[in-house]
Amino acid sequence: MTMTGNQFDALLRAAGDELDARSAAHVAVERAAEDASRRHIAGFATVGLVAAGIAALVVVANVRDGNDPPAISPADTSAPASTELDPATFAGVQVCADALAEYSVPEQIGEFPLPDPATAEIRLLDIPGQPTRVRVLMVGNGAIYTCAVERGIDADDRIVSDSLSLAPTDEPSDVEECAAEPLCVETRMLELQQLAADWPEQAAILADGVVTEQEHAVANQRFVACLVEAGIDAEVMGRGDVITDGPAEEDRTAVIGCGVAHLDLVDQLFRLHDAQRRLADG
Amino acid sequence: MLFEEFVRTTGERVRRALVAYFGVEIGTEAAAEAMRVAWERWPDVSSMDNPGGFLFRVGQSHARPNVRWARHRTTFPSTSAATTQPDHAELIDLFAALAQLRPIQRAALVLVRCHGHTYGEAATVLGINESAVTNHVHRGTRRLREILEVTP
Repeated sequence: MTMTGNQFDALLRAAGDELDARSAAHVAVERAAEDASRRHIAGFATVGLVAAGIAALVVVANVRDGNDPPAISPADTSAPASTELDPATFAGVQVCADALAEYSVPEQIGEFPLPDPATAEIRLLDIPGQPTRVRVLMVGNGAIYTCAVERGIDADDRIVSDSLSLAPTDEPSDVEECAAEPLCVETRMLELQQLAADWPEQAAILADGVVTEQEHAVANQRFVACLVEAGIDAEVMGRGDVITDGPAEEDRTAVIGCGVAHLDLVDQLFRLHDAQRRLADG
Repeated sequence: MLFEEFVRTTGERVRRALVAYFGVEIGTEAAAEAMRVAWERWPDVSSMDNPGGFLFRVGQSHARPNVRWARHRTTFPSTSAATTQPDHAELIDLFAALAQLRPIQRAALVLVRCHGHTYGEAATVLGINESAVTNHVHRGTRRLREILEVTP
């Protein structure tokens, strides 16, 4: 089954209506059963069938209605790289003690160390078969984080969506998700092979690391802080604060974990990725 | 706030969260149990900072013994086949895809994307922070889009 984004959204809303209807029908059945039991009426099966009929009468929204979103084309990687963003500076990022103090991000949570913005190294990688996505790897202080940056561009090269998904690379739920997604597993394996080759000590630590949701949130904060210190124009709005319900084109903000960064961050990451690739190609 | 109003607002979110978490039958009954507790302890519940979060936990406690026997089975959207087959193939596929998500991820996604609640409302009733809800919704949506082959 293939569907468009609008159809998917409509289907989700229809699912909400359907769940409400089924729940209401179940309440009706239970009440009817109680009544039947009290009155010793041997008609429960009929009541159940009536309730089932009520549920079946629920009108499901026509998900085929609505406008189809514009087709997505790969990002334009021929755009000139920004002159103000030098990939070489990523290996030597500057510490901003004020920023770290402001957010009170600890150096270490439990057994899981966090990257230090003073020494963190950021690397941008291609994701095989996904030209509109960039994998951001950050390593430092014995820890590695990964971030997928995804860009949706329509036929007129307009940005229609941007999203970032942050996660420590050893989060159990990520592993669980990847296990169910062959493409993601392939990407993950390539990524882990890259990690093991480049940072063997850190990769060994990751094998033992487990983080809770609370730790994950704080870790995300540190990730954003590291991006800021790396010179990327990411604006951290505050721990646990989410100021928008989702990426909004109007104010060009994107939700990233517990922090919020301007979508300019995505622009910069894609430009840097392109510049980095040009350097690698000589 | 009057109890009736509480049931219509917070109670509805609790019910929807429990239905998404445990499935229609167990979730609905767990929500009814939670509302019974709310009625019996209304003076205490009404003065809580997060009564919805408390009642979601009450519902979970009530529901878990019912699903323990089926720990490794899918109970979402329903434990019974009698009233669970909508006449809509895409909806059946969506429910099957939702069943593959972790319960907390499914609950966050259903509250926000299916019922239109805000991230803050979902976080409050589920007793987790907004950033966690954001992550659950984002990853859950991504997973559903891949399973259902939704074009970007």
